[in-house]
Amino acid sequence: MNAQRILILAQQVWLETLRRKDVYVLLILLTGFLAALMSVNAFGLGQMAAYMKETGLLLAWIFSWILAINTSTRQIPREESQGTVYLLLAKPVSRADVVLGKWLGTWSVTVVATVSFYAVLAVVALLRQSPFGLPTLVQALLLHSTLLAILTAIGIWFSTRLNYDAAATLTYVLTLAAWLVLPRVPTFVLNTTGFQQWGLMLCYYALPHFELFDMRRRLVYDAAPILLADLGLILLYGTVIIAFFLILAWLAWRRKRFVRGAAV
Amino acid sequence: MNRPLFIGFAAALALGLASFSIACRLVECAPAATEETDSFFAKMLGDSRAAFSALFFESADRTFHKGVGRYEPKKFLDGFGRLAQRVTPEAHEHLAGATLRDIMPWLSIAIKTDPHNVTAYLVASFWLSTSLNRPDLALQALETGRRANPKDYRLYLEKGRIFLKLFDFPHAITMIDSALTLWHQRPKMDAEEAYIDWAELMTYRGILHEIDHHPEPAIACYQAVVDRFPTREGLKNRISEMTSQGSATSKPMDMLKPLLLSHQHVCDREEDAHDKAGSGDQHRDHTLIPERP
Repeated sequence: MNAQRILILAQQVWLETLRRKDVYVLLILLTGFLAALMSVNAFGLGQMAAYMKETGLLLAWIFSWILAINTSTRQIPREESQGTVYLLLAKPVSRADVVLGKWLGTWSVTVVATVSFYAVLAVVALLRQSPFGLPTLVQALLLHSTLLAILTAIGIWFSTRLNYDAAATLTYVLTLAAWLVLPRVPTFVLNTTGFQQWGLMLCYYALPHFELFDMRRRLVYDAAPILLADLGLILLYGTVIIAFFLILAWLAWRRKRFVRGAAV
Repeated sequence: MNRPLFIGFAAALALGLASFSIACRLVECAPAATEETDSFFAKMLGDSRAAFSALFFESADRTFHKGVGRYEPKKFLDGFGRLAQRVTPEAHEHLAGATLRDIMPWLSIAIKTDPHNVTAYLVASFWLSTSLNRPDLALQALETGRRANPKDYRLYLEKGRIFLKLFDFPHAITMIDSALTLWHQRPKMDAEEAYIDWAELMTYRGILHEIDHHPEPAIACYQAVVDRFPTREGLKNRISEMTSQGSATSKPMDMLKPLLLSHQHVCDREEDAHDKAGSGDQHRDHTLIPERP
């Protein structure tokens, strides 16, 4: 693996994503939604800061989720369908470099977009005289960035063997299921037995636990930051998950044969 | 400007003016919007709006408890569960004072999603009239609820309570009499809770009769309550005092105030041992709905 080549590949991802204008559209959408939220006047009481912060953070999470998956699942299938993968691999670039470079590029673009979403939200919260606590905000961004790294790694992994549509769909379904179902599994298994219980427990330990990276409620309700030991443990867990999916992506792609004219 | 371009602009302008004129004419013919026909959510969601309304009500509840969800029993609590608990807020705290405004958007959306969610109106009006000190807005919210649910006695009961707190006795009488009439057409609800509401209505009505110097109807109201709930010793004593002496020892207002104050949130009652703090788990088992002791 060569760090310089990985960075060059990441730079290519940046150029392509900025040219597609996905980030600008999402940022404009977020700003539009926030403007609408600022005009909410429930029961004639005026604007409510916590409601705006909570909804704004939810929107920021949804948009960054969409951006991460769409960007990551598009990279490798597009190279294959356009035939540029032959040019790419003709250069002194290993397949591991390509996987890492694509991942780093999509992750960094998504993180920068997410930071800009948070910045817009922080400005609006400040205007409402209910700013986010800085230590909690930094921790929340750190964990959110780690989550995005996991999402992009999963997207890259699926895209090594599937076309763009299938990879994106599977990534959406998997991440949504992990997000919504896993935290409730300890409650669901109370009323299940046999295969159902085994299946739930298998999913519980096989899928990544995204709820560990969600500090939105601490941000909204001005709770204190989490302990550094807990933060370190979650970041370590995230790093292991990222490495796992990137290794799977490399293993899936390293001996793949390409067919000219394959559909995206 | 060349000829085809000029013709194109002229045609576009003419069509724009024509469509604007037709739209103005159509707006005049449009049927008057009603609560039902105008509801976007009613059209989009259909019967599932009750479920969505409940979801938004739950969001209001969680906001009230500063991000802590309701207690859910778990079969196990492993490392992931313990770590997740340390990430999400877990302290048993509530919004208070002016910050209670933050639950209102969720209650407002719950109401707009399902105008027949009477609980949402009642909860909104409770917090508006108490901690937020806006009885005017509470009455407006209840009036909106009453228009959508004209036969639900609970909305009239809540309006009656607010008028009593404001010492607006004529309006209180109107609301309580309406509530009593509609109580017999009450929606499907817990029978015990319905009778407790009825007892509260009859007690208020009795107090209002006393304030108007009509002891006999007041005694009749109190007696009806005692017949249904024989353990109401306070009312029994009052009836015997009014029967033997012509009036009770304490003034009717002295009986009214504690009755109105008894309607409060469970966490505001110091003697209520609802808090399972110290269990190391998310322990909240109550909601933001006010309750009686």
